[in-house]
Amino acid sequence: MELKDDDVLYSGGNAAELDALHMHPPIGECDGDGDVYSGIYRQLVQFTGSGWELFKIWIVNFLLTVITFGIYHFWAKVKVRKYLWSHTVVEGEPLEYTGTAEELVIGFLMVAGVLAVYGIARFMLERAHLGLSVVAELALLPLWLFATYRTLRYRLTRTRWRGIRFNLSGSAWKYMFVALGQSLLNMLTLMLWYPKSRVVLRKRVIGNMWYGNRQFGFTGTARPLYATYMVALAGVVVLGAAGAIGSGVYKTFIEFMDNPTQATSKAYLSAMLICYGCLLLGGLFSYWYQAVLIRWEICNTRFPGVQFRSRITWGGLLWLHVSNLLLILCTLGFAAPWATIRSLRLYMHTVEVDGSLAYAHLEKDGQAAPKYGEGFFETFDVDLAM
Amino acid sequence: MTVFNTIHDQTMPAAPSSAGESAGFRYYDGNSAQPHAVVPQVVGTHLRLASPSGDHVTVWTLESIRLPDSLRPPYTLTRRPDFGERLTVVDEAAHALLAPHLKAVRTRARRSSFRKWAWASAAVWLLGFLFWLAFPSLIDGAVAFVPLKTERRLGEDVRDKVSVLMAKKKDGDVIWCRNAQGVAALDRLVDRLAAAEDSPYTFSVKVVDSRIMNAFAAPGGAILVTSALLEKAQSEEELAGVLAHEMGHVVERHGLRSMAGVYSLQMLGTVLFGSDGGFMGDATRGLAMQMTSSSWNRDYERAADAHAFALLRKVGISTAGLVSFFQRLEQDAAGDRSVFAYLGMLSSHPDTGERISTLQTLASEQGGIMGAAPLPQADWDAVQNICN
Repeated sequence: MELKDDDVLYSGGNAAELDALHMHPPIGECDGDGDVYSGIYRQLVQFTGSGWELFKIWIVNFLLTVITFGIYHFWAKVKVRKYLWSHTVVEGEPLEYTGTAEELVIGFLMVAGVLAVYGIARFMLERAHLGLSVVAELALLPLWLFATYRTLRYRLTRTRWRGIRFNLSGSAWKYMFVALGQSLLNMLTLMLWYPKSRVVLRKRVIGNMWYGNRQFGFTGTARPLYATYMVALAGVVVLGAAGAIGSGVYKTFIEFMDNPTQATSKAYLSAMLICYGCLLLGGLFSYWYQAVLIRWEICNTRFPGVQFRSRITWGGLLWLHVSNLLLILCTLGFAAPWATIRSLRLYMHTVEVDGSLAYAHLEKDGQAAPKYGEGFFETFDVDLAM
Repeated sequence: MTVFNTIHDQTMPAAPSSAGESAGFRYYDGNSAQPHAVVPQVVGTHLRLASPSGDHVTVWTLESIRLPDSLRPPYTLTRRPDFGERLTVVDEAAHALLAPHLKAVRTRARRSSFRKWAWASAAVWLLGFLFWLAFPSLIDGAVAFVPLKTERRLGEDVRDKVSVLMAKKKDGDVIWCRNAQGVAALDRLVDRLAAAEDSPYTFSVKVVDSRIMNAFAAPGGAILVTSALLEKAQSEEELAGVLAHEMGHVVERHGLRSMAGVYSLQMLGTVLFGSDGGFMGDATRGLAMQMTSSSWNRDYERAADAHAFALLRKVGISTAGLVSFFQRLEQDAAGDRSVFAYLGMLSSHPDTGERISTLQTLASEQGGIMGAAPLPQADWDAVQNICN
């Protein structure tokens, strides 16, 4: 006997909670389309991970990484991912991470080879002329963009839900060129083009994403982003400039350079602090934009049979970041696992869905998957940010 | 867009299962996302999955089953080789049915993974130990290949950069202390010390106007002294001691060795640790690096002290100057715990008290000397006025 298509055990949210949510006005960032479906949204993801469990994994990973002189860190990474994926329950069924540490090691070695060549080339350039180091620095950007796309493909093909994996088609080279063009436009227009570039890149990335044999799509336009984006940009620029001028950071820097003593270094440091404070204050505006951006991206992400949306608010985001920062500072970083869990909970629990997937027709894809892991982001001490 | 022309036959929201007792397990065949209700049954070494009506679905050997790290429902069982088949255990009741059988699977998996890791760790420790033994020789070997000319050019460059960090500036330019008489007098002292050095290096000592008290030896013989240090020195013996110490760093190529060592360690750290140590990983890596490099530096300082002692004896300058200078430093550090006291002179250096007692031991063993004054009084006055 087979279950019916709609026979999913839905684990998130209860009826009362949903009713309460529907009392909110509709979200402004999404245009129409929602009325094709029932109009009744339900929570899509239930994140069931706990800070304490993640902390235990981290501490063991940490110790093993130390006693193996760091080699274990590839395995540690996979452990953490497996935990996070398997506690992300989508419509009653957990995600699954199928990547292995061996893949990461091989990917890392390959990128280390590329970077060794890059390092030698850079050394030669800098010997020829010191100013050429800027060129070498710039050459990292396309490499970065290329690796971003490849990394996303790796992670998607290593993610399964209901035994069926995700994928990313399209060429990483193409993405690199498009993204380079968009970066150039952003630079030339003093970042005024930014929301537009967001649309172009989202279309390219999300439009190439697959779950099984079905493709995602992206239908957003830049218009709903502009008002909040401009306000956020103005907030950062104005307060940042006010901080830089008001604190006299430049003057104290010159004084410090002219006569490095304790007094001048203190004056310089306190001016820097004031300057950063103002920038942070300006950054508060960006939470409003962040929330709009997330809601916009999610409700414009299309998948056959369903309609998504996010109920994330700027207040929620602001509180999350402020409280996480305090948590990490007060515990000297030991609460990082709790901070991770809290973030994931907020981002995932606010995602809602309407409609249903025709599971019987959702078949596995016949596309190829990369064989190796994401070496680039291993070597550069950062994580994927898209 | 091709995205939307797919079948769209379900518009109703998800409803709870009506499959009754079998809802605790969901089986996916790897070909589609369609869940199948199954009833699992363990027969010997096999897990048999049947539909609620008893029809055969599939059979897994227990040995081929791979467990997730945490067995808190809902969780998913996979098998090797992986063709996409999945068995999701939905709730506690279902978990209770399977748990006894999974325990054995888990124990077996843990045992083999423990064995694997024990072997790997042992190998890594052995390699690490060998490397730790060989590392200093490797660095020295690498440094031996650097030609003197390159070392000197590098050193000049380093000295210029360091002086920018420490000096007072006029119109953005470093203020050098170049009073002609002072420079000549200082050079006479340096020449006297250098004459006793049996080394291919030519030494050049420059004085920079700065409130930070420091003396610094760059590779190749470029030495930098700050005006604050000259003021702190109360006698020419003390200055001679400091210079002899810095020359020790130069002759034993400490600057180059430390640069090469730190650079290789950093490379190694990146290769081995990569990222994702999280906050604690980064902090630990930084701390380990700091501890390693400052342990080298402390060794270098001790070596330079011993070198200075031997050199002063050879030239016939009182070795008491070095000791008295350290003693004054220690008194100041006790009185004034300013940031710069640590940054300038003391960080990554051995405990000053320890250095004093080492020097005193050396003096009592080999006999410190109370030689003639290294400089005529006029020269010492000129050196002290070098910034005017």
